[in-house]
Amino acid sequence: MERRGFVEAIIQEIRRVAQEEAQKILKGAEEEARKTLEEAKEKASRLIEERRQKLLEEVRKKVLSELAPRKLELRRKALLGRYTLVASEIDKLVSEVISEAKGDLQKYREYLMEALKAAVSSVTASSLVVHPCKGERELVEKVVSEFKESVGGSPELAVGEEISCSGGVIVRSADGRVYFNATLDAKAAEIKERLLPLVFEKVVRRAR
Amino acid sequence: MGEKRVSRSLIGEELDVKVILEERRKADLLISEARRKAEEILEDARRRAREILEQAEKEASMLPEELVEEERRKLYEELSLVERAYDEELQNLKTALAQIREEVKKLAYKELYRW
Repeated sequence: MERRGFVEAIIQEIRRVAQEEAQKILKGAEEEARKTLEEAKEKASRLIEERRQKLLEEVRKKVLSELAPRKLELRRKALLGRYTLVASEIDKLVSEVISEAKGDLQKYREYLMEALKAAVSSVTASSLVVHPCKGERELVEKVVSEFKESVGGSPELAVGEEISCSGGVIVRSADGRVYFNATLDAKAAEIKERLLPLVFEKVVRRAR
Repeated sequence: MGEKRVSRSLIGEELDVKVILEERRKADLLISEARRKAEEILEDARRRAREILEQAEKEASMLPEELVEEERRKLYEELSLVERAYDEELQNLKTALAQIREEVKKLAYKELYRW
């Protein structure tokens, strides 16, 4: 009886150890399988993400190259729009100023005097001819005579024939080789040219 | 009588050894069966991993149309933003011009008499 009990105990032990070993083997395999699948899934999503990013980058480049001319056109239009806006505002203001100056006799005479001073200091000649615009001969003669009184006899100044312009004068050397354009049209163009960069800088700074 | 007892005891021990050896054989069988199953599990996992990667290769080789469209939409939207920014800039410029109108007019007068 005692021996049979001992044998039975050995059998039970052999079974228990074998079952434990089998369980261990299966559990290990399941764990390894789970890891393998997990790694594969991670690798797969990395692969998909990397490739998609690469493909997306290609799409992006393609679309950007499609859009580049439109972007450039927008920029060109924007710059032109800015320039046109500022230039037309300056045009308006300068026309307003010229028209006000022309409409006010005192201001206009002052303009003509300043123009004569500038012409005399710019054109190096002993004799100058002042050409008034049509319909302004009388006024210009008065201003020239006033000017002569203020500066003396040199250089010699004469009023020449009327020319077609909308205000101001053209002063030329008697030999016609050098001339000084002080018409209001020329002055307006000069003012616009001077004001444009100045105003641009001011408004762009303000608009920011 | 004594001889009989001895022989019975020897036969009994021989039987016990056989029973234990049989149990040992069954245990080995159980373990090798477990190993076979474990190998099957691992092989199955490797096969599924290969399938997952093959599928990923297929999926990664082409970009879903909606992603392409989304990217295109985003870039076009950026262009509209640039356009709007330019429009806004022009409006700001108009406002700024209106604010400095008198100042510019004074400058124009100054320039009129400056040679």
